Amino acid sequence: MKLDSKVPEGPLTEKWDQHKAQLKLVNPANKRKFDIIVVGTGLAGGSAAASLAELGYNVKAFCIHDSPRRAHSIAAQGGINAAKNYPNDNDSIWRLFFDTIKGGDFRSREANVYRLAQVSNNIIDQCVAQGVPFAREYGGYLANRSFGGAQVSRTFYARGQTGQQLLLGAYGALMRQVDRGKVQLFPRREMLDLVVIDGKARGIVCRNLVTGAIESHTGHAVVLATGGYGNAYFLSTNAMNSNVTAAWRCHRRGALFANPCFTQIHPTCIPVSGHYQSKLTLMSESLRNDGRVWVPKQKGDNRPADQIPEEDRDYYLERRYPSFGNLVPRDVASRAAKQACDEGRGVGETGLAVFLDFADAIEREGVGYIRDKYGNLFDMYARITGEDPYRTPMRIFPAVHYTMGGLWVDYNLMSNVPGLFVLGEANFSDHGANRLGASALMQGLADGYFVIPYTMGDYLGRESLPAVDADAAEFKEVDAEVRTRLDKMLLIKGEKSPRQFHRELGQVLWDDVGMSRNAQGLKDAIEKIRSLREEYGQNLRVPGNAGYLNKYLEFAGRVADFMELGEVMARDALQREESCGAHFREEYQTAEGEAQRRDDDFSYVAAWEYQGPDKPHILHKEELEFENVHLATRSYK
Amino acid sequence: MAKSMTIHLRVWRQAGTDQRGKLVPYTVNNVSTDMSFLELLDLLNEDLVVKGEEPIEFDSDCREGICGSCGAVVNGMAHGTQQGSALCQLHMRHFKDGDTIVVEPWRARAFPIVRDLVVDRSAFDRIIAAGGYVSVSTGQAPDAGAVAVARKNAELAMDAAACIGCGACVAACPNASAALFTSAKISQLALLPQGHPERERRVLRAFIEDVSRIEEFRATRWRIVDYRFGSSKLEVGSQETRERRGRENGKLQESLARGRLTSPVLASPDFQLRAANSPIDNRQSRIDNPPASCPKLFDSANVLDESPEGWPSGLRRRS
Repeated sequence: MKLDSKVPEGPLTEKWDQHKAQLKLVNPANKRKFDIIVVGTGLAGGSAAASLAELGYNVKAFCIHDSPRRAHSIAAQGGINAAKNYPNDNDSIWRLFFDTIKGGDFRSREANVYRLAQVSNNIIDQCVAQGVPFAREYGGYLANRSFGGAQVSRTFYARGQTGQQLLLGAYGALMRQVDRGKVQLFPRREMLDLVVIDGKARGIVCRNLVTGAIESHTGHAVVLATGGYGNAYFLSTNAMNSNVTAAWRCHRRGALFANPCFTQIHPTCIPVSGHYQSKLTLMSESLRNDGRVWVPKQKGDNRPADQIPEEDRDYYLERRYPSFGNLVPRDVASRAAKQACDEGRGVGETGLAVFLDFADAIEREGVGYIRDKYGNLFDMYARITGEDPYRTPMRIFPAVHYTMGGLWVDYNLMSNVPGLFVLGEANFSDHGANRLGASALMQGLADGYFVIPYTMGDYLGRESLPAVDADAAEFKEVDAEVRTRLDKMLLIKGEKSPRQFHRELGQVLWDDVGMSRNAQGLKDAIEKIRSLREEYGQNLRVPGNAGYLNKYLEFAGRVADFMELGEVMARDALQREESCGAHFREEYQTAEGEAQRRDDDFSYVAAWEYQGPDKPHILHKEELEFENVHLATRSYK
Repeated sequence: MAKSMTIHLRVWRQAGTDQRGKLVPYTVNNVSTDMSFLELLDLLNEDLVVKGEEPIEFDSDCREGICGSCGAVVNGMAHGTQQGSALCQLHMRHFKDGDTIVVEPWRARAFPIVRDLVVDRSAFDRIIAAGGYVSVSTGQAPDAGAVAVARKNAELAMDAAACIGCGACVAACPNASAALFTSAKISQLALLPQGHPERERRVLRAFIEDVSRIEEFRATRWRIVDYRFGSSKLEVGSQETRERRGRENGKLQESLARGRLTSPVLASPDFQLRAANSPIDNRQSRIDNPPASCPKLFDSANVLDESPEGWPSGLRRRS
């Protein structure tokens, strides 16, 4: 299979404009003849559905929640990047492009990332016009702050709730189109399969989560914006309903899955407190501006933090990375915390945590300063842990946070299945091997507001798409497969709940496909996942039946897909014999223990093709070409 | 250090919208004080599933208190006793070993019960569809820096915009009114210049029919809304203005004729049918179920610090 990225010719800075000039248009009278299915209503799906409906297409929007406003984009805290250069600190589209591609450790496409930087400014304009209450200076103009991986202040924010405010903006735009009758909303629906007719995506089969009804929906194109797959690890900062099922079903119908091993582990999360834990909570990375990370020098030193004198403490980030100190990038900070805990120097009841200590900052600046700056985060920490972080150091530990990998797409955001477009975290396109802070919101909205409205028209204008009926044989066939799969899970009647399987899978992935990986561990993980899948087929227990709201049935289907994905994640990590970004292979590190990239051999996108339930995936490579940036080694010492 | 407790629960079980429900007792052992309330339900559910019983259905997603999915009336209070947070942020260390906790769904006609603790909050979506936005299409926006917004207004707008749409205000209101939810969105947009051109239309479409119930509501939450979000600035401030607008709109009389409050968006035939079939009489149950404040928008002093004793007669302290 030849992967054609469809990156346009011409100089980098002109590619998008030239491409737009070449794209076909659909006239307004014809737009209303097209039905577009949008699955997912987060930042990418919500903005896409609203923008496509504004253009005149008929949109059917599906979400797994009771309302589009619940999508997990809502939980994003920090902010959204744009190259506005309002602070006059010499920011530019070029700098935003360069920081993003470097932050991704040179494993993303130049042309996609440049376009992302180009449209970033339009996003801020659009959101302000929608009434998003961004932070402002006393003069009434927009405030900016700095974020990891950049030397300029280009992050726009709405307190610690930027994702919420941007999502509510997109949700408002979407509901406006619902009111106009241009968007038909299908809440509490889970997409369970893609229907491909004559090689083109023409519809979906989904389950009404309230009534249990299996429904077929037709369209001229399908837009998938269903988020990332971080929940494969069971414990992550993702929401309970975040899952890979819709994307994985598309993958099983032929869409390639790219770079599945690129999963970001965020260094500052509240640690696991017990076996009952259902999810992990992120503490903003801004805390590392004032907090100092440390563990005891001696193994098994379980004195309370305030009784450990200065000389018995190891401020390991400051020691190892004197020039960046506590502000090293996420992947570096996460690995260092894991190493300290692996050495037996972790703190807290489980030994899987390190201290983030504000005592020096409080003494230097006063409690008031810290409260003003981080008050809401300190409150959240106190609420969850029952400890007062003004008096005792916070305990933090890394947690799975974001997935850079996803379905493979070309420059038009279309997968290799014609008519199936993939936006936001669900695709692989813009973040390479590591995502910078405040870039996920930017990408979701760029895809939905400013890319898909252009490229969708080109597809619809170019292809001949005869009408299809939900009663067509292809739909009937997929419908029957979906029902069979659900029945099968209900009929096993074993002894283990889907959550138990999920927890076990998560443990395997966390241990062997987590912050650092090696060939033996990855091979073991593949074996362990296989035997877990086997046990799942015999010992799963799902209560009730498929005829009503049954969350355990939903979980069961998602866990099955996570297990299949988990194996491909391990295989992808195994074949990528280098360390880059979030992917750290122990065999490929420098003498100082830093990541060692191997550009000559691994400067490609790994796109996996599904062959069948028990056949190994086939690897396809899209070589990455860098014509505009020099591939440098990252150093933070 | 985490401790282990035994907790007794009485949980509302209801198989579907048109079924009768009841409180069912459960006992959960080995409850860690570090657990969240929803993790307690997870633990109970795992046990029920292995025993071959049907688990308790409840909505939850982010478990960080921002998505607004979760929520239940815990010991008679929406989201439980902790101020300013959703149910997912309530931890078991606030309870004692041996406590009995009563857990019910949001009880409001506007929110038909789907199953157990899961309710249908699509009425909120209909309110937003009626005007909870600025009508600006993608691409129409001027430069973000073109219009200055006083910092104070931007901050007040952000206060209002922080609403997580969980529905606790409806569950807590004696009239199960969505006035607090609706006014938060109206306030956010009216405080910003971007929202000005449509502010009148927005209020008329999304809110005005609520005026037939305004006297009832005034006694409870209206004053707070008025004060905190300066709704007089929204030109819906006085009773007279609202009534005049409503009359002009021809809808107020209609509402009054129907004899009860109905917002156009809450009054869809579909919703009315389901509400009529709801086994819980919302108006009756409200008497024993006093209002708590919105967990996100207000830090009201009106809420008890601890679980009231002797549910369900526990009442909140009125200031």
